Amino acid sequence: MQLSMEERSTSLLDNLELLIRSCLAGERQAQNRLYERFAPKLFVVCQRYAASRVEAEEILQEGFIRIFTHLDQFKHEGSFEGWMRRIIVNCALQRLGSKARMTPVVAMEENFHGGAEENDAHSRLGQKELMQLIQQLPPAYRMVFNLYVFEGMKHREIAETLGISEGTSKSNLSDARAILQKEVLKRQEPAMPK
Amino acid sequence: MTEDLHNDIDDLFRSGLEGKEDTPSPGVWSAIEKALPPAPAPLPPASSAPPAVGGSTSTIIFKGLIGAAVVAIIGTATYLFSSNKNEANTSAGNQPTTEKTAIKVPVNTDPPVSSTEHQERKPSASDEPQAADNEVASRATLRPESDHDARPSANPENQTALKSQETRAFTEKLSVKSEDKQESGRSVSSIDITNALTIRNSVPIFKAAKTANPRRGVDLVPSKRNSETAILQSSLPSANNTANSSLSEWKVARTNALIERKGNTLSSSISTPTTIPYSVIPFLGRISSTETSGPADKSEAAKLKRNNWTSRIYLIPMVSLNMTTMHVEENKSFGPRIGREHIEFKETEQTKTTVSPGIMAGFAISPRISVQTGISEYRNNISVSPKQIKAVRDRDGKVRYRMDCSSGSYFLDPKAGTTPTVGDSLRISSSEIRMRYVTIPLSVRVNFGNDKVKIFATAGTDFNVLAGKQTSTSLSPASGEKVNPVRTEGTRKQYLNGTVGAGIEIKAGKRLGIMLMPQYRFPMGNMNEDGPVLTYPKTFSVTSGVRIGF
Repeated sequence: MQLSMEERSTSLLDNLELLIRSCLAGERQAQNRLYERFAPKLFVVCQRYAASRVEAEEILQEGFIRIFTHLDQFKHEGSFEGWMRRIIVNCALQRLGSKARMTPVVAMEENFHGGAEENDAHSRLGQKELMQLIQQLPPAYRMVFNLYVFEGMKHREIAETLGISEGTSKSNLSDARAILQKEVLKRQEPAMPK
Repeated sequence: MTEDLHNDIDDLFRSGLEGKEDTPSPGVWSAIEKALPPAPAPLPPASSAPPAVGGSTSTIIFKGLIGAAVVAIIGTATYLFSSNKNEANTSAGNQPTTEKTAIKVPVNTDPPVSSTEHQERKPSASDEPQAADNEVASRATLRPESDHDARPSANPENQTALKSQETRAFTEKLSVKSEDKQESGRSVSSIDITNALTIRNSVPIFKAAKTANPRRGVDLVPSKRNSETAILQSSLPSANNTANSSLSEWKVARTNALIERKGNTLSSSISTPTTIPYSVIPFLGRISSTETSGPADKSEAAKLKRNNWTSRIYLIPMVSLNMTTMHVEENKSFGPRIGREHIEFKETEQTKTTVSPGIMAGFAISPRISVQTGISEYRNNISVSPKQIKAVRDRDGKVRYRMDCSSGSYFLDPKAGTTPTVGDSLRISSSEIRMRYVTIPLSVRVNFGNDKVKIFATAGTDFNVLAGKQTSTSLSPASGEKVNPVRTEGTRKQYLNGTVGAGIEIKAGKRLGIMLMPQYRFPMGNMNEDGPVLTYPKTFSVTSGVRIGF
C-alpha cells in the first residue's frame, strides 16, 4: 500500500535512516527535509565560527552541499549529526584558515566596536549577545576558542588542526577568554549596584 | 582563581550557545538546491525506498571495468571461436553422412550455356583429390548441374588447373565469378563457390555442377563421399536479366546456408532474409569455412597441434611473495584533521613481506591469448612504531583511545588506568595490524615464444575483499598490557587494484608447466575511507606456480 505524500513526509522525518537513503537517491524533497531538520542547529555552529550572519550562511551552504555530495560515505555507525557537524566545522576552518593568517590579531578595544550598546547583565546575556561576542573575536582567537570550548579539543590537537604551535593555541585561547571576560564584565557593569 | 574565571567564561558560552538553534534565511536552501545535481524522477513508495545508490567512485570504476572486461572477453572469444570452430571440428573425427543436400541457385539470365562452354573453366569433380588423408582440406565447388554428367574428364587444361588448386592446403575462397557471354544470342552466367566449407577429407561437399538455368536454377547434390552435409540456397534477383548485367550489381535476394555435421557437432546456419550484396559472401564463407592444414603444410599442421594444446582449460596453483608499500595521501574531503597524518603514517608504519597462496584458472581462447581468473589470498601486515594516541569520542559518543593508522582508525579500551576523558593521551610501544584479503583476479595473458618455453605478459584487475583483520597493540612497557581494538573505523571492506606482470613458463610435461611471474599491483582505489588520509597499497609480487593443462 502506498503512503500518501503527507504520510510519507512524516515517515521521512521520523526515520532518519530512510531520510538518508532517500537523500542518497537524490530525492529533492528528502534533502529539503534533512536540511530543515538539521540546519537550525548547524547554523548556530556556523555562526560561532563566522564573523557575521552572512558568512555563517555561506559556511552552512557550503557545508550542506558537501554533506549531500558525500552522504554515501556515512556508514550509519555513529551519530549522523556528529558527522554533519564535523563537515560543517571543517568547512568553517577552511574558510577561516586563510583569513586568520591574513588578519592580524588586534587589541580588544580596536576590534570590539559593535555591541557596546548591549548593556545586559551577565545573567541576562542571551544567545544573540553571546554569539555577537564570539563573532567579534579575531578569527584566530575565535577558532581556538571554538575548538577548545565547543569541540572539546586539547591544545595539541588544536595546534595540529590549525597548523600552529601548542603555545600559540594556549596564548590565543587565553587572549580570547580575556577579551570575552572583559566584554561580559563591561556589559554587567550597568546592572551591578555601585 | 584564574582557572575558575576561565571555566566560568567557558561555561557561560557553552551553556548559552551549545544546542541552540537559529533559522537561516530561505535563500540558503535555494542556493544549496541549485548547487546540487538535478533531482531524479518522482519519489518511490516509502515502503520500498531504494537502498543507497551511487556508491563511491571506485565502485563505479569497478563496475565499468567489469563490464568492459566482460564485453571484451565475449567479443574476443566470439571472434576467435568463430574462426577456430571448424578447425577444432576437423580434428574431432570424421563421420560420413549421407544427408540430402540441395542447392538451388536460380539465375535469372538467359538460357543456360552449354556444358562444353562451362567445362572450359571448371575442373571435373572426378579430378578432385581423394580422401586419403584426414588432415587435408577440401574444396567445395558449386557448379552447374550438367557439369556432373558432362565433365571433361580428359581435358588437360582443366586437369592442370585442378591439380594446381589441389596442392594448396588452404584454399578458403569463396568466389563468385560471372562470365557473361553472348553466344548465339544467349548469355551465360555461372557461379563458382570454391571451398565454401572445409572438411577433413579432401572431398568436395558439392560435387554437382550445373549450368545456370534461369528457370529451374542450379541443383547441387552432395558428394557421396562427403562427410559433411551442406545446404546452400541462393537465389538471385530477377531484376537484371540482361546478358550484360554486371555481377557487382547483383544481389542475393535470399541466402540460406546450412551446414550440418551430425555426430561431429558442427552445425552452422546462416539465414539472411534481406538482400545481401555479394561482398558479404566471402564473410559468410569465412564463418562456414576454416583454415586447416594439409599434410603438405607442416607449419600449419604444427599450428593446429599447438592450438589443440592451448585450447584447454588450465589451472595454476601458485604461491606469491608480496612486498607492499603504502602510498598515503591527505584526505581533503575529511572533516577536522591534523593535516600531517600522511607524513606521520609514513614515518611510523612499516609493511612486511607476506606469502600468500592462490589458484588460477585459465582458458586459452587462442594459442596466444588466455583469460584467467581464480582466487587467492593477499595479506597485508603492518607494524606500527611507538606513538602517542589520544582519547576522543567515537561515533557512538564513547570516549576511547583512538589509534589512527593508514588502514583505518582503531579504538582501544585499555583495562588499566582510569576511564579516559577527551584529550587524554597514551603512548603505545608497538602495534601489529594484520589484514587478510580474498582476492579475485581477472586478467588477460598473452603468450610469446614456443611450446616449451613461453614468455608471457598479463594485465588485469584484482577485486580484494577484506576477510579478516587482527590488531594487537602493546601499551607502554611499564604496563605491559596488550589490547585489541574494541572498534575499527575507516577500513574499506573491498577495494580494487590493477595488475601488470610478465613471466616465463617452462613446459615440464605433456600437461605441466612451471611458471614464475613478477607482478606489480597498482591501486585503483583507496583501501580506507572516512579518515584523514587515503591509503593506496602498491604491491610488488613474485608468483610461482605449476600450470596443469586439461
